[in-house]
Amino acid sequence: MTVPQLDAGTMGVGHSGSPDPRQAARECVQAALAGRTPQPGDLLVVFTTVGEDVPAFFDEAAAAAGAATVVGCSAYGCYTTEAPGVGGCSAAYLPAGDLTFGVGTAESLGSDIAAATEAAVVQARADAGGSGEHDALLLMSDGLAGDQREVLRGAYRAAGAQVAIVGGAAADSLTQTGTYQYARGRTLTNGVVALWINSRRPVGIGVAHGWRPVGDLMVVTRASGNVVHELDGRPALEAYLEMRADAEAEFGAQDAPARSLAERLMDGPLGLPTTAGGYDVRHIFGEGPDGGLVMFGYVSDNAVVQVMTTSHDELLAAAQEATAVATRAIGRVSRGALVFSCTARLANLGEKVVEEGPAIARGLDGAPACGLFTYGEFGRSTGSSGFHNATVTVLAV
Amino acid sequence: MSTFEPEQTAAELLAEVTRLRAENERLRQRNATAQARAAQALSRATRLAQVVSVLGQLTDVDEVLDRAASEIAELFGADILVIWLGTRADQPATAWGMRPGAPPPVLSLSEADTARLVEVPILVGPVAECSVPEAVRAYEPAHVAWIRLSHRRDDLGTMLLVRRADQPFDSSDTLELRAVATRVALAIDNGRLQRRSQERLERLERLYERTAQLVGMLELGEIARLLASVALQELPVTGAEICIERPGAGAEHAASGSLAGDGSTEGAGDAAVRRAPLTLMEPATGWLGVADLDEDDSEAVDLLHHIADLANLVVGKALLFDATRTQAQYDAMTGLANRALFMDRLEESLQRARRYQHLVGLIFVDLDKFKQVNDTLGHAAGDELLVTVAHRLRDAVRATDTVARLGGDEFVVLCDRIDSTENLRVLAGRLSTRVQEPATIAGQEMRPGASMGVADTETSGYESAVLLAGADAAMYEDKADRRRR
Repeated sequence: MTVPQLDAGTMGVGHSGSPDPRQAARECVQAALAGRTPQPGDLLVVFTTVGEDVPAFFDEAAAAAGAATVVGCSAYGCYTTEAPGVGGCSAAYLPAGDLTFGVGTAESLGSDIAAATEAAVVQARADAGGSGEHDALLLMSDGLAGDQREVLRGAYRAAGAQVAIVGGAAADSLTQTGTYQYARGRTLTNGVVALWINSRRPVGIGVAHGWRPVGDLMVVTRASGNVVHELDGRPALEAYLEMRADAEAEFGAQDAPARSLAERLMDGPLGLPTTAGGYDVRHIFGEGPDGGLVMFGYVSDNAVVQVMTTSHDELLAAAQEATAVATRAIGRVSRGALVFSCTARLANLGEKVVEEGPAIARGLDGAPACGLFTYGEFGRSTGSSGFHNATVTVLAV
Repeated sequence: MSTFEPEQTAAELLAEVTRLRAENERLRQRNATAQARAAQALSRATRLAQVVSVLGQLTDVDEVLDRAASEIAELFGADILVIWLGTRADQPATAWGMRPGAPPPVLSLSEADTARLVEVPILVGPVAECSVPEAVRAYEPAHVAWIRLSHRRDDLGTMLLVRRADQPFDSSDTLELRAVATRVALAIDNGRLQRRSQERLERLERLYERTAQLVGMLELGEIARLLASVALQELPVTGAEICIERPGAGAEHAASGSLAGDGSTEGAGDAAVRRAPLTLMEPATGWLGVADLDEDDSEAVDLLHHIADLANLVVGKALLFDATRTQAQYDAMTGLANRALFMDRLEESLQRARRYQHLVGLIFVDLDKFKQVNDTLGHAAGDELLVTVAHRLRDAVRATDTVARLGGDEFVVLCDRIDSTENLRVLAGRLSTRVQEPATIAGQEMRPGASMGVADTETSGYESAVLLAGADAAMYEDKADRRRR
């Protein structure tokens, strides 16, 4: 393996496909360091899909990272711009440069996810020595903890409107058995990690999904939490499937009856039109007990929804677009990026998923990036909403 | 509409196909744009319904504003949402999107904006043209919307939405925000009602507990103190006092908080004192006074009456207990201690005397020729003579001594802690002289006479019966002597 020569400020990324958690940790961190020795104040972010002994993976990564601050989480898939596969683990090493980092954690999220996140953010800001000129907040939460909007709500309450928020909900291998978060030398299973980033220059955040609406608008006439019971006064699944059938041409051969319901739900999420003219996409997790739709995330009563569709090209274009938006926001050559990508993109991209890394690389003008597949993304630069589904969310520094 | 002509060349066909493709794409785009617009319009149209739905799900009053603020900010693409309630301009009820710990935004509308907001419930515009609180300026706002929150002509507060992005609040935003504001005002009003109901319920529970405590109390001083403290705690007043007067038995007075002057005059000093009279068992009178009560606050006035009623109940009960106790321990005609109370005090006195080696003395007093007064002047005259003698005896002894009427014309004086038997004899002589002073009974001048007998613990020991028997025997000796004289 050739070690690229990096200047002191560039982000270094590394990937390992080793099934041994300790070896995988060592390999991806060493690749990210590329021969550099981490200094106090530097940051190392690690993502892992290695299901065996995740705490051992994080401990080994922290040991290999030396003096750097280490945060990370479990993922459904990991990649870097240099290793666009989706398994194994990945690491990003970011020398501090003009950035200051602070870390906060909360665990046992329980019923008050917002309050727990708020506490973690307060701790992170204090750890970073207070607010800086351009603050950003990176969140990694337990993707199985419940309504992830509450994570953003708590973070926003503590951080306020000036702070850009980015991050993702940690995932597992779709077994829904448990996710991991790592910070301050500890592995959490039902926690949230907040990384406060103080920067003298703006950091960039980009969010894009690549989905477009088909069929008619429907109104959610009955919903509770993340379950849509009725659409237009009818059982939600029935109304949804009928709408899909009407828009069959848009789904093409993919919508053949032979495909399972789960597969058909995966490539036809619901879109919620936003007042700004775009769509928030919410994936459908499955069928509810009363013919309703169980969603990834909260959908309000009276919300307007539409069935969404996409194509491989549109999904990959979204990755490039999100990265380009983030890069433009920083107004200079990027040192690198962290990418939070929806797990459902894997199913929809299929084999083409290996093209996501290169698409991101195109948006970064050659700077490296390290990404993971999540159970939900956080991305907020204006407005007070920012929990997403089905997106590629990019933090460029 | 394009049609194919057979004579078209391959190049022309290709051009036509390209043109058709482009037109198709243009139509698709137009269709997509129209659809997106429709989606956006419908989405906007349901924002109010979404706010209503969210507010309807909230049960905790304290949660309403915080939750409403975040939901409305999200639905209207605002970064910051501040709500000020009532006239508390420097303390927002919620400031969504503003960092905790930073100075709170002060409700600061220019005079012109204040006047405009009275006329119309909502003002929108870029920051250059609108009032913006100083604390909000730090967040680099681009556009603001000010909304007056009112319900049934009640001004409940003011709401401010701030967008940092250059995205003006348009007419559709304005229209929907008006409706949202109405709904938020209703939620605030409901919240206030609910909070008030909750407060009433808690107050009722406290009053119930206090009532239970008060009805178990019998000592008037304690009752007065607790009533004054309950009135101060439960009423929106700066001070409370209670006074109970009993002719011949003194007064009880207790005060809590600050009262103007000494509280004896209504409206004295800076605070106006309102007094609610208590309805007590005659001849007792009393009142409950409070300082700085808002007379227009009908709820507070009602509560004052309720506490006065409670005072009537518990003070009346204590007074009744006092009267019953007096009846059981005192002789109704002379007001002196009766035999039962005398015996109690004698036993207590003897116990103390035995422990501390004091001297306790008894003086037995028996009127001379009482039967004769009864027979010749009537029983009323006999009673008058008894009362006269009783008062003379009581006035002639120390406050620590007990004068009791044992029955008929027999009296006894219990002298606690005397110095010597001799002093006891001196006292008996003085009593005898005092009793024998001239008196007008039933219009007739007379000189009452009484036989006296003394005994003390030095000669008779600490047994009450022995002491009584000693004094009794001495009295009979004296009576015999007097007869012989």
